[in-house]
Amino acid sequence: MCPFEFFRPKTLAEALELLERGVPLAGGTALTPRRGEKPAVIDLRELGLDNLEIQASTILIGAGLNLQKMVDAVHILPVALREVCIKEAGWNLRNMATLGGTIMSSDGRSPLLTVLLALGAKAVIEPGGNTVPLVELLQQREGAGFHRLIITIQLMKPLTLVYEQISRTPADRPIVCAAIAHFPEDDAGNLFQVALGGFGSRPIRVEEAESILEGGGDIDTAVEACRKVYAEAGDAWASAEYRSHAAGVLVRRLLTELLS
Amino acid sequence: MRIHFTLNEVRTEIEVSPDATLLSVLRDQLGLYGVKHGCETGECGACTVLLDGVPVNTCVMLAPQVDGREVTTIEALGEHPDLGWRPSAGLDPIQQAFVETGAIQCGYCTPAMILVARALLAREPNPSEEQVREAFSGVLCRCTGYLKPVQAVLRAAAVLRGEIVEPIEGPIPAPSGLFPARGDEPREEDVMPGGPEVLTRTSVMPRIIVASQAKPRRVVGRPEVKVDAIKLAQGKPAFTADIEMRGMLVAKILHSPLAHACIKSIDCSKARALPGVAAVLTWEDIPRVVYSTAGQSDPIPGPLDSFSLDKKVRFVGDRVAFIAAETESIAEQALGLIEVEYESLPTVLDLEGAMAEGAPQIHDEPEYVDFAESDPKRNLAAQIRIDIGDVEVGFAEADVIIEGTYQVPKVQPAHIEPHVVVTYWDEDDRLVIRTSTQVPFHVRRQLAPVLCLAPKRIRVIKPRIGGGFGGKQEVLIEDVAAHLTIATGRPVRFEYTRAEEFFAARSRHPMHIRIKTGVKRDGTITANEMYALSDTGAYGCHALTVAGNTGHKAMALYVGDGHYRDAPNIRFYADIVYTNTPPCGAYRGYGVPQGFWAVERHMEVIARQLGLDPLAFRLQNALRVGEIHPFSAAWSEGREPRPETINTCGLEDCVRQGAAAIGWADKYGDPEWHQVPGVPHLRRGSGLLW
Repeated sequence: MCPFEFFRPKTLAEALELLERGVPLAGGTALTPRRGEKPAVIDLRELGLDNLEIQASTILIGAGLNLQKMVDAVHILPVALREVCIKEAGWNLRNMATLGGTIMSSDGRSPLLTVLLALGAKAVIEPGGNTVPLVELLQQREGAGFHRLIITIQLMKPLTLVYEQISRTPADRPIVCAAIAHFPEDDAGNLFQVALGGFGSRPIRVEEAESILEGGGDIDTAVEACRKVYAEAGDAWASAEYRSHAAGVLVRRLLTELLS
Repeated sequence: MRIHFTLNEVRTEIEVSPDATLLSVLRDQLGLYGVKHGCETGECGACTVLLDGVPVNTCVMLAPQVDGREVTTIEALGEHPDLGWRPSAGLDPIQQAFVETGAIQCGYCTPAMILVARALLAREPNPSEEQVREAFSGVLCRCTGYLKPVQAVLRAAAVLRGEIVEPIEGPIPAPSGLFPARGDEPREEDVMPGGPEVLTRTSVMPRIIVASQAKPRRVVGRPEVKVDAIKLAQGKPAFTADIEMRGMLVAKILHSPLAHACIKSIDCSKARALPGVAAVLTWEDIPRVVYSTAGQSDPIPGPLDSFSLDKKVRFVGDRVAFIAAETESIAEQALGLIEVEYESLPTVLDLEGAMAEGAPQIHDEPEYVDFAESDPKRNLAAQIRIDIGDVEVGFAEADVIIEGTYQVPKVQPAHIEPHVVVTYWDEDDRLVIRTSTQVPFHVRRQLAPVLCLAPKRIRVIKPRIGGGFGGKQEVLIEDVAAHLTIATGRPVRFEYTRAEEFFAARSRHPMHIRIKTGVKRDGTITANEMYALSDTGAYGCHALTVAGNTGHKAMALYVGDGHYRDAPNIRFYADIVYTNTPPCGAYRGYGVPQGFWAVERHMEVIARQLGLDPLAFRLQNALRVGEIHPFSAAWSEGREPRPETINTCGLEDCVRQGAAAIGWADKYGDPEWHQVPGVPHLRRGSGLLW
């Protein structure tokens, strides 16, 4: 057996150099139980990735900020974003789990990932300093050899952000969840961004529903587009028929709230 | 690697393995047993410590992560109020509040809760109930349901703010006339407030009606501090695994990857050659003694169908080999070095097909000892046939026959403390079994033949257990450590992982239940019939008795009305079958919840079909004081039945008070009440069952 190694680099450059030898360690909540599969971990604690900054139209969150600090950012982050951080984990784990770690380790049943998708989140990645849409990042993370670091998450500031979920208990992971963000009209992005979660390896954006809403289409058509994307989404937690129907119900409820 | 950190205000420097969790370092290296092992995935929070003042889970944190930081464990808080000649600072106010309010049940999660409360009150000295509950969101309690811990934190907060709190001295008598007499309409003040904001009443004592003729007592009817509350609030080493022994080995089990297979060969040579491995045992190394793992009195009311190790495996997770090694990681490494050749066999995974013609036989061992008409050739672990009166006559006298089928799934008890055992030879050469069990005497009696020791050569110690809920009414893992201690002569510790709890411990029996009921138009039940098909899994532990109680309790409640009270017509049949799935066993209620789940749903169906008030229909047919328990003369867990008269029964009073408390009369049948004003997609409901 190769000995397991633990590194705590002081600089980003050191950390990036070490990425070939191991995997980044943020809070450790997801990685620690699987440490036996890894040759080494690179503790990111000293890289100072826990900033939180508000700009004119965007919010910048350091990948190392833990979820409880996001909950505590009362006048900075949208209420719905803070609330899904509470749904994401109990207090103990929120004091450990970071935004970056959650993005890299959560599956489709993550309320936080679903809301981040609706907010059009983008990740600043090193090396290279590229900005990658979260939709793409969630696909890339599943491939082998993802030897990169998320430094910052960029969010567009919404006019309104709404979220609903259905779960077996209020504290359970959602069987179906939906988030819709409404942005100012002059924004470069879309007016509406719709995301569904509760299934599979990652939540999904429903771009067809967004186009319908931006084209002045009615709620029924947008709801039907959302139902369609979960038409085959059956698993041990819910049948595809149920999940598809419930997704439509949630989206209708959220749109009714938003448009009223 | 070396790490430096502040532990309970003391600067600490230690050498740790880079992949060691903080939990293992605190417990195994530093002896801080107030930090508990409950899972390995951060789910339960039993391993909570404060890191720089906030609660974190140490099972999902690597020890090197605390380098340069401040760690606080429960051991930093308070001390026993009586330390002899040395003045004591006493318990921390939070610990004191937990002791006073009765917030400690098993005590396994108590250190975590107290630390979480400390962090909360440091940040919010005057928390709302909602904030307290949210603070507990990372700590699972399977015993108390959080009511008392929430009360304790609110009380401690008041104390820390310098407020005077009322002493908890005696019963708080219920106000005169609080509970309505029979026939009274519920009053507005009887209906308890509801809603998400009001979940916990901060009054610690329940309302108690003290009979006027009752004499005041010094103890009975008054609050009493739990005898071990002070040690549990301090996180003292009160549980099975909270012990250090020189030279103690760590045990692991190699589990079967197949649901049904014969072991053709096992090669343990590589595992035995691994440095640090003290013993590897297979079925070829230990005596072949058939027994039952069900913790029950002698004679065991069930089949003898288990071996410590066998040459056949019967479910994914069944035992193949035992290993004892110097460390857990060596034991895990050795598991991967055992080479097993299996001959895969056809499986039975569906209980409905278990007794079908041609189904694979799960128990074909010649040593099998049957009980209560068990028939291993048909995968039948036990069978029950009880007829009281004549149901066919009762059905003929009914106006309506209503049938239904109901399913109850497999459920894991999920006690926070896993199954854990430590074994060693004592100074009298007795084999000591220190175990987290609900049945210490059965452990000794049942393992004596398995270990080839006289019972007097076995001493069982049962420390505090961190929850059992029936899951530890089983002689489940004691034999593993015991065999390894016999083999090596050394102390051995064996503890299930959370994953093993799910695939290799016991769970509630899943059942398919059919009920057929004859009813007259006026609501009188004339006959009631239940057939329960129960899945015991791969072994017949508690097979007969759990299913027996399914009928014995649930089918005894609704005897019918009028002359049917004197001569009810009840049938309860059950088949308990083997399948190639993890075995089932005792779990809270011992078969009764399965039965009542089906019966109560069925009663509701009947009431709705006949347009009857569900409360009145149930009470009309329910067993009453002075009547004979109908099953008492027919069945008694495999022993001689004796008739039992119902001498007391508070059911009617309970229903009346409960209905008043939830405002049943105002809500049931009122469609308007089910609407939520201003939230068109929401409905609210009100239901009952018992």
